[in-house]
Amino acid sequence: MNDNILTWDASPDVLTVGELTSRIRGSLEGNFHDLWVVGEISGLARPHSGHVYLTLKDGKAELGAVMWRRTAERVRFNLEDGLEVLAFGSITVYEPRGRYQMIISRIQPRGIGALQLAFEQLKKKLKEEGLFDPAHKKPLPLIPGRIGIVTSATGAAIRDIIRQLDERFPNFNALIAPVRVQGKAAAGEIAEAIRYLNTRDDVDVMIVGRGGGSIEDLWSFNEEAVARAIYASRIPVISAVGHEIDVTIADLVADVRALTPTAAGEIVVPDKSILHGQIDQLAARLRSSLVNRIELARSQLAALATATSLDRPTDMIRRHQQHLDELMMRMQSTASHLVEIAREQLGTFSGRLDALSPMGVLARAYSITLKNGAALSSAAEVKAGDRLETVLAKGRIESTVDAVHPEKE
Amino acid sequence: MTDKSRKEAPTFEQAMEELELIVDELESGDLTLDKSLERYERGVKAVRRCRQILDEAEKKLKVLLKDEGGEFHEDEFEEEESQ
Repeated sequence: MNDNILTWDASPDVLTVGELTSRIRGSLEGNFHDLWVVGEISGLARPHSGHVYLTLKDGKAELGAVMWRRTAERVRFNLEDGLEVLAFGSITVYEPRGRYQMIISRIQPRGIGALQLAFEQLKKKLKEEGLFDPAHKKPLPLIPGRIGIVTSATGAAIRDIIRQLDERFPNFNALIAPVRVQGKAAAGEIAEAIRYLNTRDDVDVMIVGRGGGSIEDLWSFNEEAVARAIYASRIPVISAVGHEIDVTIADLVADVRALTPTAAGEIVVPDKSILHGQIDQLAARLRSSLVNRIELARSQLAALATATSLDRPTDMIRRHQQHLDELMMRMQSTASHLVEIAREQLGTFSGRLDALSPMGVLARAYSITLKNGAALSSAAEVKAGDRLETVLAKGRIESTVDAVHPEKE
Repeated sequence: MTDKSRKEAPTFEQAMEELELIVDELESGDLTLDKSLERYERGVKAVRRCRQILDEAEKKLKVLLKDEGGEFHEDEFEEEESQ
């Protein structure tokens, strides 16, 4: 019995290594295809070819795996050693080495969505680099000369923003840089638009954003290219992505985060009617403070005139009175000019301004009565038949006294 | 608002700040009459400047378009009223 000794040529059962390996390959590929496997990444290698080589392991075994370049490019999060993943693919045999391995066609982190992980990874990296640093954030201009808006020209976001601008600052000046806001090309276009606006000298604040959508829809605003462009922007950036609950990387890098595009429209310009109200108030205080100051001087002078001489005021007092008159006239000419301008510019505010104008104040509240050029402070200083002069906000009146009613002591 | 006018004239913030300062000074009543009038006139200028900054510009809404050579130019933006 020489069963164990075979002649090479004689036996049809003898296989070459290549033949055997090929059969093993066929067997493995037939039995282990399109399956999910869970394991921890180790020995990650990314050579220049762009293919990714790694080992999946658990406590008991290791499995060599390959991800071809096209697959690897589609992975949104960073593959790293120690990361536990779910990999989908098929087993094959690398014949030259007699090694079986898994060709991975899809991969996702275990226990957390791929996008979520990508977000966390980029957030961590950029945070460490200081891209979210509050010290880097630039203040917004109170009244922007020109507003750049980087968003889709056809989305809900641009309409929401324009509606706010129209309401708050109807004579706004804006320049839209239309970009795609979802899909593969979006991040590149958004970043390019931000960089382009920075080459212009007429834009001094910009809004970058889009309306609400799924996390995939908003993804461009979580991409590094957009984050870097925002960080590098010399022009302050207001981010406005999706709804309140969506925080994107762009939001974290931006100088100001608006919760929605509508909110961005509110942030980027002040409410003009409120500012006009503030100016009106200050203008009214300005006028009344000067009127008060002049009236104080008048009454001091009147008191002086009464004290010195009722009938023959001194030259000194007359000079002072004349000076006061001049001051009042100067103020009135300045003031009437102010009111005119206000009317022209404010339209609806003019009614309110009228009520506050110095003319109004003076006409209602102040005049001065003189006898022989001396200011009067008491009815006892005149008698019926005396000639009096009354100085009003505008002009003077001469009159004769009919009756006198001195205040009873 | 052109860049030129911006450099020459005070900004809204500056004009408002000056106005507030002047009003405070005048209301304190510590100034002489002549000084008061002088401050008042400056205040009136500041008021005018503030209003001017708010109202001088005209509404402009443009959109950037890329021409065939890859250069950007501005065009009127047509607002869609529908939807």
